[in-house]
Amino acid sequence: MPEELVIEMHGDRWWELALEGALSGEEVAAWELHLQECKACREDWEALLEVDQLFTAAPQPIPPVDFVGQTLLRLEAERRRQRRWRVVAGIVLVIVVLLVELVALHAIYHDVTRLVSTLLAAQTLIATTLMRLGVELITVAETLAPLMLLGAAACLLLMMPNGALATLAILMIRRR
Amino acid sequence: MDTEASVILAAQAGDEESIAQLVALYQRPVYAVCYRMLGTAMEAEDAAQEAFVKAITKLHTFDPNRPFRPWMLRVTSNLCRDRLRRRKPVYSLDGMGDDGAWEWIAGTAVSPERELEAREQERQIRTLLHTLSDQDRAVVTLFYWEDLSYEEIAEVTGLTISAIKSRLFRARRALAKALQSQPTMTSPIKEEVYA
Repeated sequence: MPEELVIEMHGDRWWELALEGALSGEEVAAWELHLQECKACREDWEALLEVDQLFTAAPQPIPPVDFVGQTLLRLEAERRRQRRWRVVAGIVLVIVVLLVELVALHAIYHDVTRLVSTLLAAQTLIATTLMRLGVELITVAETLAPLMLLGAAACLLLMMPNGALATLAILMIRRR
Repeated sequence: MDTEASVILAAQAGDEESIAQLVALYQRPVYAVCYRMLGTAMEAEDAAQEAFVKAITKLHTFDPNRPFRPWMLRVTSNLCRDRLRRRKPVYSLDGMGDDGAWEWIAGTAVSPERELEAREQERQIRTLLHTLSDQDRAVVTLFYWEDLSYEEIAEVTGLTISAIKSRLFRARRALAKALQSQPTMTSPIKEEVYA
């Protein structure tokens, strides 16, 4: 057998082709001859075939009988958990917005009395806004989290010291 | 009977019956991958259920024009690899470990000898598979037991086809070496081929 061919047979590429069954008829004959002559290759090849046989003969593991039912129960539990988290996130967001609003108003007047009077003056407006905001947030939280975040961001902008609500509150106080 | 594509579309629309059908359709390959990768029946069941929950939760991201099986197996294989990464090494004093193989051998109405042989064979496979890296184990599992093509394995694992080929070859050689180093393993090939 030519020396070059033996070198080729000792390379990974040859083995890959042999395992894939991609050798030509002549190559297969040469390979079988080589395996009879080369003990190291023969032992490696036998071990590879043995792995193939062991793995292909192994039966497919079968899932437990109630697998589908158990999976569906778990899916439902996961959905409930996600719904719960969305509602909690909505409520937390409303509370955060409320706190930010209070802080923002306080930052304008630096005076608790004025803050209270401002809140009283604008109470209907603030209450309506907050109620709408709460309802919208909870509704949105049930469907899309990104929209919920967008709404929260918009509300924050509205209630910042220079936001629309603060300006409106100042105008109302001035009018009084 | 519904075709697979229509079941997937209905499941994407949230139809509970179709979701159940989808789980029933794919429970065997998903469970098998989990079992081969994780090694125990209990963990395989838990991981397979989690894989379905994950897949169904993000089913809206699946493109129905593509085959579902590689997508589902990708979710499964990624989940198993995550679990293996998180798993702490387990040392067994008797070398047997937790096998749980009875769970799927039971009920096949075979003789106790055959059952024992199958159990031993299963232990050998598990021992061999655990000599491989997580990625190689996934590739070998998909190749031998899920009968996926190189292209499909590449899609599942996110590797290139040439990387799959070379990984698979290296893994097979490593398995062969591990097999050679285990004196208890039987070798029927030797007698058959070179007698």
